[in-house]
Amino acid sequence: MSSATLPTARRLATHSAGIRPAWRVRPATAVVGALLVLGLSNRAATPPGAPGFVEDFEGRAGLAARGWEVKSTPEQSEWSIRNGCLQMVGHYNPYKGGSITRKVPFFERGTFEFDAKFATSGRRDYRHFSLGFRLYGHMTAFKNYGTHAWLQYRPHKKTWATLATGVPLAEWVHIKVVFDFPDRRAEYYCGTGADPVFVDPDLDVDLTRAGHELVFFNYGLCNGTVTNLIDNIRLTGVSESGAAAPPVRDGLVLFEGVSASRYAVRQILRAEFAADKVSAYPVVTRGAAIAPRNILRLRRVPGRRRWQQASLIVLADAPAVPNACLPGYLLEDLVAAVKQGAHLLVLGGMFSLGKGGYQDTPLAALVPVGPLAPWNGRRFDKPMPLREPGTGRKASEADRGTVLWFHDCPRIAAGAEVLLEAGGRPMAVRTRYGRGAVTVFLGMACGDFSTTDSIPFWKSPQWPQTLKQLTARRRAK
Amino acid sequence: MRTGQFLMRCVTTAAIPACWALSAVAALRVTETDTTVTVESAHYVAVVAKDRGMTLRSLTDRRTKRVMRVLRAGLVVNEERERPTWTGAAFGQSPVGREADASAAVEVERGVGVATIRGTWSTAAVDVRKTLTFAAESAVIEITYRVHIKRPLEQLSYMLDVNDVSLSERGRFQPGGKRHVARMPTEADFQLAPAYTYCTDGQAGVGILASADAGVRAVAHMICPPSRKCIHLAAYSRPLRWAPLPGDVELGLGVVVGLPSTAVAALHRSRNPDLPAVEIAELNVKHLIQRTGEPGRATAVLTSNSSRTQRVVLTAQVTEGVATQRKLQPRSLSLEPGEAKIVPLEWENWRDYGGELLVRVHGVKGDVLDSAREYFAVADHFVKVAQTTVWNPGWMRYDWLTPAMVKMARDNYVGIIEYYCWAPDQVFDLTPDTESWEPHTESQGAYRTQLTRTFLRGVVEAAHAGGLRVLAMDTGFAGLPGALDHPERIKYTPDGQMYLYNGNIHDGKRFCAVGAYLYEPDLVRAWAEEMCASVEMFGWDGVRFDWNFIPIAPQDPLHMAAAGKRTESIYESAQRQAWYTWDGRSAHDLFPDPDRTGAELCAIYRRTVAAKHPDFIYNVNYSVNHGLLEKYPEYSKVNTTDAGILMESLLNTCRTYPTWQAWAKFLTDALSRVRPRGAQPFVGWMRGYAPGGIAHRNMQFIMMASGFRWYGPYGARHSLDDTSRRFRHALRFAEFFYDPGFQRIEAPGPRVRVTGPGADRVLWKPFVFERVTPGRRELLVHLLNLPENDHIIMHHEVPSVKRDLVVSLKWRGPPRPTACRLMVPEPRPRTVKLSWKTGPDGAVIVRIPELRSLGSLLLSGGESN
Repeated sequence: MSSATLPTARRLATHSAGIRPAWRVRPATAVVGALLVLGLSNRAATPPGAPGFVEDFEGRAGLAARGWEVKSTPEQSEWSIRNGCLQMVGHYNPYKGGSITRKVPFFERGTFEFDAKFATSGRRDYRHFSLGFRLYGHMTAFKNYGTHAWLQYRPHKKTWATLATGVPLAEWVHIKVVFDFPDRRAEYYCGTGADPVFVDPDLDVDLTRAGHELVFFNYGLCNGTVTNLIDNIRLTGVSESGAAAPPVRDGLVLFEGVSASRYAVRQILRAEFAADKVSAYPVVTRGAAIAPRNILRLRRVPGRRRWQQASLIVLADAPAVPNACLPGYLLEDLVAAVKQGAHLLVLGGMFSLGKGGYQDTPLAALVPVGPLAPWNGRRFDKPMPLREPGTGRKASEADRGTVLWFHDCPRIAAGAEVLLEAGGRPMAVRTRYGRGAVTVFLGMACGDFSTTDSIPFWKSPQWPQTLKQLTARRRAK
Repeated sequence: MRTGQFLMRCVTTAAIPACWALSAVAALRVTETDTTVTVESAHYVAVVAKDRGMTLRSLTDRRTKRVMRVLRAGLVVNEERERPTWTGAAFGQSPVGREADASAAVEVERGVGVATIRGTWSTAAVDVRKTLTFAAESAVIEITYRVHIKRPLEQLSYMLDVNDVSLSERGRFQPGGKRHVARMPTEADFQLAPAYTYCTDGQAGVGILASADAGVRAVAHMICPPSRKCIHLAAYSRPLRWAPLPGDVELGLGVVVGLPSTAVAALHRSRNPDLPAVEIAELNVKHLIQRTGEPGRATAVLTSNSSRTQRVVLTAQVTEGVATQRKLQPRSLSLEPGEAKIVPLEWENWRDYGGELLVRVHGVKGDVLDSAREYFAVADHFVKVAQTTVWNPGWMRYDWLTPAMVKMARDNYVGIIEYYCWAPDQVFDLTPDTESWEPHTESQGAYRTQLTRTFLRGVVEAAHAGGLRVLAMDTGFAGLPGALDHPERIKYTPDGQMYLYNGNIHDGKRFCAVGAYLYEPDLVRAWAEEMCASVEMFGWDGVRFDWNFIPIAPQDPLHMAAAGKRTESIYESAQRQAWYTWDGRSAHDLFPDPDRTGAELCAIYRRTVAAKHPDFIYNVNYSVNHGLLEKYPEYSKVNTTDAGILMESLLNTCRTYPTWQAWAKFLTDALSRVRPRGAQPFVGWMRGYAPGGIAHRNMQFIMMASGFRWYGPYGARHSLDDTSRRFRHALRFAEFFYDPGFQRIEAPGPRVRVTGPGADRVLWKPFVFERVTPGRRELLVHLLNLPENDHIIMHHEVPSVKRDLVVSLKWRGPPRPTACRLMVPEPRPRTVKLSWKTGPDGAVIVRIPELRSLGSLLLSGGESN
């Protein structure tokens, strides 16, 4: 059965397989409620509550009858309703690709969302910018150049910022922007994930020049003709009822850095956390780093509810810099979560601690070891057994494996506890922080053990137990 | 090489009457439902789908009762992708209209023993009238299209994709009896009409017949990838992008079902009575690139189309240099009706560079029944004769694909295959310990894949068997596991982090290309030794690096192209931004003279590999036009000497070098810098053009005339992509395009002048060269006939033929000029002998009677080489 023959609600489910329809109550919306309860302004804005604008393109009415104004010639782009969707056939016409506009209510805070299916035809010609949209003065667009990316325009800086990469082609994708103009914050969601792909805590948007309208446009920069579909457009203001009570702390928030897979945190802690309480945020490279400066970012970021749920936060070889890989607003949320009772575990590596730039971030106040510096990575002359202080060397070597590379951070904060050591150096240190705790593991999951008989700690059969000990909520004395 | 029938041994003319007799007794039965029309003859049952534009839905071979499901059939209309004006953007894909998607107005006519389906349908580009004729006495469904063209088209084609497990797994295509397994129609095996292709597993069969006069230029076939259980047959029109508009074209072909292959061959002969009594069905030179001193070897396959015993004489002739010819020993042969004979040929190669083998078959009276030519080159230093393509393990990783890909490269005279990003780790592991591995390289930014040693060895062996060479691509990046295992051999950023060039996460697994620290002689030696071991494991003929030995430079030379567009170029940025060793030592402190370090390390690498593999050829990505010779003079010297030099930064003909003149200038300026050291440049990865257009053709001609080689894609021989026509010319006359002895005259004004009608639309000034050897002097001018517009990436009409051009050359003897020839690619690589006279100022004046595309004028004096 084609989607055109399905009732609207069912067709939406087809579009968004695995995605809950956005106007049902969903955690992300609730987060927005929590975000936005303060300071609602009435600057000529439509009162929040019921949806301000909904368009599903069902029925016989044409675009004009629905209030849409097409501003395009056939050479620029063609806009029509096909099978209950808005179809944009965008032609090559650089920067003059035509558009379609609809007056919509104005909300200062709210959610704008729709389903999109990119490049249903012309995929091989889909290079550079194609579909874009502008809500009031806030503009984003989609560009396929190396990766299919969602970009946000920053009018004052006159630059584009990447919101998401790897946006699927030729399948329905749910696009959502949760905006709070007075607070200058927006969260961007793409696809099925419950987490935003990007949070802009300093939204650069110019509302003064734009009318209260929604515009979809063809950028016209692709090599040839590209067809995109749009459906289920919804614009909603946020009400205070969207706020939710703080949840129980029973979640794992895991930042997966470059050597994270060697630590196998998710696999080892599978039994400790319910599947829906585990949220992982991989660090990814973005583009090619031509000069020796990494270009790193998180593929997605936690919304505030994740922080409220977090009982364990793991930075597994996760860098805070460069490119604000762990952005300032996120680190503030992290610190707040630890203060309020979460346990932070930092796992070492070539991108962690001093190599991750923690010394210049709020993390510096949490980490109970020092000094933190880019070049404090060291190598033992030979693999050294990882052991608890004061235990017999022979037994512990067999149990916990060995360390070759480590962060040389001998300075231990007052009140902190050394949990593990190797070669006379501290390897795991824990301290309290607020109502939570911070544990730092200074070993690095790297090095060449092939010419030795030693087992790297991360390959040791005891490593799962070691990791669980590091994550236990035992407090420093 | 002519189309023909290979190994068709048992044809008897009795086969056709037998088939006719069988069908004559059976009436033609036509039944119709709401969705189909079914036609039953003695040979087949054909079901035509009303909801798919009245195209074939299934074909049943009545001998076996096997129903072959048709996945796709009907006319395909490819519209022109070239834009009428230059826009600074690459061409997109060709808009496609398919008969199967059309709503056709149809009528079915039933006659005595004949049924006809007529249909009409339209798109914005075409109005089509089609006729399908079914005859009770024939195994052939005759299909005719009359197409009224309203918008520019590239080509029309008829496609027939048949889903049949047995044909997919065991089918062979007649004539020839070969399987050709490929991925997409552009990789199919094309044969020029008159021709037929018939796929049979020995029981059922289906094919296409195309006569010479029915508008079909070529037929094509392939077996689709094994998982699809499908075969693909097609018939193509001539290229239509220059057809007058509006205009009309006819396309006629036959779909044949349910005959033994011998009967299909007989049908083909009966439909094409002008076929020679004996034809050269195939001419295969064993090695496309032959090693110096290696005897040339070839086989000619002769097939009889006659019903009588044929006595013939086969003669052969090898041409080398400009036009040095020698004849091989003639052979007398006798062929029985329908017989095919394979005749081996062997000759001694006298000199390096390109050659032509001409084979003729003569009747008893000495008349030429048929002839065929094939081209080859002789060189150990193969980069001086061959074009390069890239095979990527993202797609080129199946054993079944290797034969078709090697054939396609050979058919296009592409001599060099670069196998891209294949190693377990491009620094720490070029010799996989296991049969199967997952490459962990730069390409993991885009995809992940799996390779086996057996497959990779198979690729190299198959390429070598055809006389092709294979380069191992090496980015010089470590993979993430190797980097984590060897932290002390990795570059670090100022943050103290391992330097990640790019990467991605696929299925939860992280891949990264990591900058490797390779800047000590022992490390480079170890790396070179690893390459030696890899050569022993896989048989590589060379390596193609990005650049790996200069300690302070952008990580990818392609990004040098950004220079000049920014306030600070990426080069300067890289120069300013140091990387660090694991313990925080700055590269700027460690390598105060990066040029010298680069030169030393590059020399160590090349020496170390050459000590074990003297024929191993070093290729590298390098940008001459961004001042690298000045920045790194010592490194450049070592790097470019006798090397293949990829100038990726010169590829952008859409925007950066948008005119013929601009591109030629940059290419030839770059050539002037590297040729004195014996370097052989190549440019690419070429893209953004429409195959077979004037932009495509002239880009290739400019590349050749500039002494560059192509680094890019190509289509099947005889397809719309006519790359093979340029590459065979480049191979045949490689000496005159690629011999480093030809030094460019950068300011030719005082020595060469080109005048005559249309001379202003002939590009020649960048392409003037001189070669001086003891006792001999040669002056070479490549002349390219330009279309009316100077921008490259746009639609061009075929340039008008320039007639009576006059080239005036100031000869600096001695010796005096003794010969003048023009090398041209049409209709095949050949030379035209030209006369000359001496002008009043002593200049040599040569008249070129006609210039269609590229002409290479060679004025030579002294002893012949």
